[in-house]
Amino acid sequence: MFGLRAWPTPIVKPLWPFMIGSALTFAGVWKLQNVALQSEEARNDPKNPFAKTAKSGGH
Amino acid sequence: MINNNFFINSPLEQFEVTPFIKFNAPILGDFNLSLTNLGLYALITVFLVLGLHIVANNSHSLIPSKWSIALESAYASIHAMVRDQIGPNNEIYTPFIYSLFFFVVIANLNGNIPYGFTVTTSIMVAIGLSVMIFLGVTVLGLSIHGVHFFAYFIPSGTPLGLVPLLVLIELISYLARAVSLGVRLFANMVAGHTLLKILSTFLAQLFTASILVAVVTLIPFAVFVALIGLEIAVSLIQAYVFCVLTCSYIKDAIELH
Amino acid sequence: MSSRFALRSLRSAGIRSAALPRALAVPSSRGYASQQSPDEKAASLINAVPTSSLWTKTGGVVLGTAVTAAAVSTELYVANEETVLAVGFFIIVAAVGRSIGAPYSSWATGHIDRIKGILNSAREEHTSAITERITSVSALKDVVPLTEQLYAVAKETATLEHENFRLAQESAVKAELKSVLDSWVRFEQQQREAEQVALVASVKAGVEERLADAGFRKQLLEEALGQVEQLSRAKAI
Repeated sequence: MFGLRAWPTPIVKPLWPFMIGSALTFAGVWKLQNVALQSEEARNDPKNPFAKTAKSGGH
Repeated sequence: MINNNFFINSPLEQFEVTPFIKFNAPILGDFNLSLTNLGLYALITVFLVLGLHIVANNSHSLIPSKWSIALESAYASIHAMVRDQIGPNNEIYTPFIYSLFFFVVIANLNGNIPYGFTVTTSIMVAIGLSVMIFLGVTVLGLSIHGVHFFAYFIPSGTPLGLVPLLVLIELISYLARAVSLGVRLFANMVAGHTLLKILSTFLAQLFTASILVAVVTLIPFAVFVALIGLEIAVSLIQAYVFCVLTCSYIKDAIELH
Repeated sequence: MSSRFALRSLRSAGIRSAALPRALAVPSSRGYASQQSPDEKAASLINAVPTSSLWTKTGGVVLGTAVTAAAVSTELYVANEETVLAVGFFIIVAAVGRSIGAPYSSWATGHIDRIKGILNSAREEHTSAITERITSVSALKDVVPLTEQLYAVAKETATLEHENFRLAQESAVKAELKSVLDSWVRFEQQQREAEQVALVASVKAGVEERLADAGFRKQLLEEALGQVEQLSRAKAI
């Protein structure tokens, strides 16, 4: 596209450790985010989309 | 006296991540996706990097254009850095380091533009990048050397009695790499932007106080302009340092110094 | 060593700082040449607006003023501390752009022209080499008919020489025959002459032998005398 030629640059061959690393980091941040969202101080924050999910479900 | 109706906000409010578009659905256990200013600026950074490479692309002619000379010299310096740091037979990591450098440098420079947001001021972005790199480098080292990878933690020529203590210290300093790489970038960006925000707030109050004060404020304003220049330099340098250290960690994993 | 550097830098700084007040004290009568007249200043301001014709410049200035007024009045743009940042940022961008823009542009144009020059000169050298080769080869374009003509001439020469040789051989054979016949003729002539000589010699020998015989001599004398008597009786007497 845009007149650029496709060169056969190896993507997976050098970068597979970083793909595994990014998958692990993503999983870690996801879990961390879930824990942080259910924590005490974030539970009642109005910006929290999971705050009082019962109330938002009945809207 | 400050006779204006300024609301002096906290200088850290510029780093808040606020969503523009929210997408909530009660499926899959409260699926929640939103486009925040962080996400928007990450997309802007990606589009700027791609756009730069499309505008400065000169693959159809032998004669370079001015844009392509600059881009080719940037590529040559990064290639030289990778070759010096990791070694000439590991140049296969050049595209990775090149993309990393351009992402970080354009992300940093986005924040230097007025009303722009730096994605690397978010601790999650900076630490996320560095943890990803750290884990990737560890996996790389383990895959190449197997169990012998742990010989990295014992520097050569240590007396046998010191080995447990030294291994602990080396392990802690190795684990600190994950955090230090990201925190270096994060702290530099946050400190620079906070300083500029504080100084610009003061200067704005001084400029709007009275005409005499406004004229005298031009001298600190000159210092402030120099600081903006320093911020732009810091953006470039921090991106470069990030990439040099990534290359160094890759080299350590491949060659076990 | 470092103290010497410090002294030298202090001395040069002292000279420079001593020069500055003197320059400020002189009334800038020679600065009038560098000060612009109001017309030039107005012209430089007008030229600072980006577009080319006067109508679009006026339109652009009016539009800019209207947009600014609209933005400020609807609080789309609030002049807060970001304005200070924005002004500082644009000053930096202008300074950096002016300081490295023109040198980089001129260096890059020089680099591009050098490459263009190399490529164009290579192309011209190549075309001139090719045209030279074409002309040098086209000078040989008569070679084929020439060679054909030479070949025909050579063929003709070969047949003629063949004819020549054959005739020469014939004439040689004939000459040899002739010489052989001549030699035979000469031989026969020699033989005939030798026979004649031998005949004469034999006759002479016979005569001499007869003459040697006395009786024959006497007889010959008597015959001669008799002839003489006859003759003398017939002729003279």
